[in-house]
Amino acid sequence: MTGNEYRRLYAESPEKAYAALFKVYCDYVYAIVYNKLNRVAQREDIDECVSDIFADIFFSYKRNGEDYADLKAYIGTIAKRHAINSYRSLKLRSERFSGDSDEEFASFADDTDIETNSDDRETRSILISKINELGEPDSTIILQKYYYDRSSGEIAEMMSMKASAVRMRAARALEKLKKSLAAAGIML
Amino acid sequence: MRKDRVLNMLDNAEDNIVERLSVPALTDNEKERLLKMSMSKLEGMSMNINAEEEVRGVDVYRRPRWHRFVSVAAAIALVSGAVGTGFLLKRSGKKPEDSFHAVVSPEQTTELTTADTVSTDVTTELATENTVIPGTSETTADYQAIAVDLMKAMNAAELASSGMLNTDANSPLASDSNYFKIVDGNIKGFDFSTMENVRNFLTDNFSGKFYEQHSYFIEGSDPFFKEGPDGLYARYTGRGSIYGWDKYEPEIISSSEDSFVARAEYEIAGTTFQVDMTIVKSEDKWRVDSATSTLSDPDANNTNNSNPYVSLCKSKIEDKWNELTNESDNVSLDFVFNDLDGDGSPEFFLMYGNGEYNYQIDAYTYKDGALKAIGNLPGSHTSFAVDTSSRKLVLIHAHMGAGDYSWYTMENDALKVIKNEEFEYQEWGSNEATSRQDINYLSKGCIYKIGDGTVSYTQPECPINEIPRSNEINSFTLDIVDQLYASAAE
Repeated sequence: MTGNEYRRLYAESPEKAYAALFKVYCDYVYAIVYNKLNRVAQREDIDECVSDIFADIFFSYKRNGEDYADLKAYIGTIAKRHAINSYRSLKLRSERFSGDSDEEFASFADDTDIETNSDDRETRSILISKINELGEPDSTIILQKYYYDRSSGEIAEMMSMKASAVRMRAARALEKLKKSLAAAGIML
Repeated sequence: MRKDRVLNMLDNAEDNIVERLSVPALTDNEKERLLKMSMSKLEGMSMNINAEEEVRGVDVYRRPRWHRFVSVAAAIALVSGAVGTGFLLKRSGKKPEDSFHAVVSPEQTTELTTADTVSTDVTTELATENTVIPGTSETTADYQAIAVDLMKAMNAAELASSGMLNTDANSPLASDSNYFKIVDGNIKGFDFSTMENVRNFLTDNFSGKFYEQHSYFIEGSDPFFKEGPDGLYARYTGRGSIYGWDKYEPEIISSSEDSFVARAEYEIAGTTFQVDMTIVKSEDKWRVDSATSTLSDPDANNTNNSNPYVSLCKSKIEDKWNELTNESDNVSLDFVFNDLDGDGSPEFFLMYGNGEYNYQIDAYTYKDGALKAIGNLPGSHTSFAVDTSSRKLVLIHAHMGAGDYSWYTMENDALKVIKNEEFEYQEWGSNEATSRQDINYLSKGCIYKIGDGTVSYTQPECPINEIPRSNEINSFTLDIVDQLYASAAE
């Protein structure tokens, strides 16, 4: 979806435009937020952040009527910034509550550093290439199950497959991935 | 970590990796629920926009000129659990004079460091004239000496409220973490360490309109100073309006028995400004009653009035100004020029909005006698900067202890990001990432409106770990666009 398409839809019906934009970019925004937050956030926090991002995007257009030359880049920027802000807020929350017996915050109390280093980057790059080599639908199933932590039933719903088929494919794909990565010197 | 998340090494990945991770990860029901949440929030934002602007307006009022830096400071306070609060908030052990050095040029610092003796010198020097003002008991030299003392008080007030107080970033006020304990309240010889001293400072030096402009130090629901259980606390920054006096040599332009007007000029980025201070005597004490900044010689500063490009930029600013001020009493416009394509005609960037949450940046180039849009970018928590080598635009986004630098160029009449670097910080300017020498804040102009007050100002290019000098004119003026353009075109 481009900025022009969004504008045209908006003129017809703002609700339609919102729904269409959400449909197209939901997975993208979720990926950005989940990637930044999942170590410190509960699923509800991630949902909250994603909905905040879309509300901001809808609001920005509604209020300013801006034309976004590159809508995806714009959305990506907004999402990333929101995610980083949420990360910081959650970290602060965990620090404020450190020493508190509330288990909800105990999981935040690590010193996860969002800085990355070159070794990590290289490992990730190899990992993604090996996942891609699995081909579809296995590469998506692998990400859904072992990165997004979704159940086989949920994946089955998203992929229009049977849960048993997802379980089987996920297990086989994981084994294949482990071997492939081991050959590249990476242990899962 | 959940046991099945064997791919956790993909967390916090690079943009291209995240893009690959963009697979369906939500069920239809979850998507529907998230869309509803977004719509509900949107509805709330729209309904509450007026109230929100009002609330945010208070925030903006406290930080009109340096709101971007303040955002950084606020972020740090949040991030670190009040460990560091940005370069505006000084840590314990640093003298106010050290802080002041970050604000002014070395030359200015030298002169200001010796300013304590200027009053005497000026008095001595001017006393040779020692002309008694008709109908008064004071001489011109007397008035000048009085004005010098009050100028120092004005300067101290602005410095105190611009983050130059020495506060302990590790000691936020328990009831409001926006306030930090003052460990040394001395600013250029004025003591801001107790509420009584602050009150006395205000009543001793200011009256009338000028007092009202600074009453936010101690009054209102959100004062700059607050008393805590163990002493005085201050916010990380206030309004910030440093008069850029290089020397304290006021000229007395009118006088009577109980009032006189002193004029003092200062220069910033090639533009000379003059401040007319109305100083009034009451209860046998002289106080600053009002101060007005204006361009010293507007015509001398307008070097490009006939430039059609600059005229178009001015029109764009004016149009946006009119549009936004029709919607809200809180408006801010920032504008810069930067020659992205190296053709000698700098591109024009206009950042605008009603609050930090909705800033946008429009970018234009000059083509075929008209402004041509080359891009639109989000401007929240964003500052204009420049790569000191390539002289091309860099946008700094910094918020909540993290941010990124984005280098821009222009290709096919569109903005293009050349590279992007992320960073983190505990205290702005304290680490390598936020004090790098290859990026400077770009010389910029700003016009903002808060309630009934409108202010225009420019600030020159300066290192990113320093606070830019700037001036303020208490009116809407587009003259500053000419000066900015001339500087960029050079």
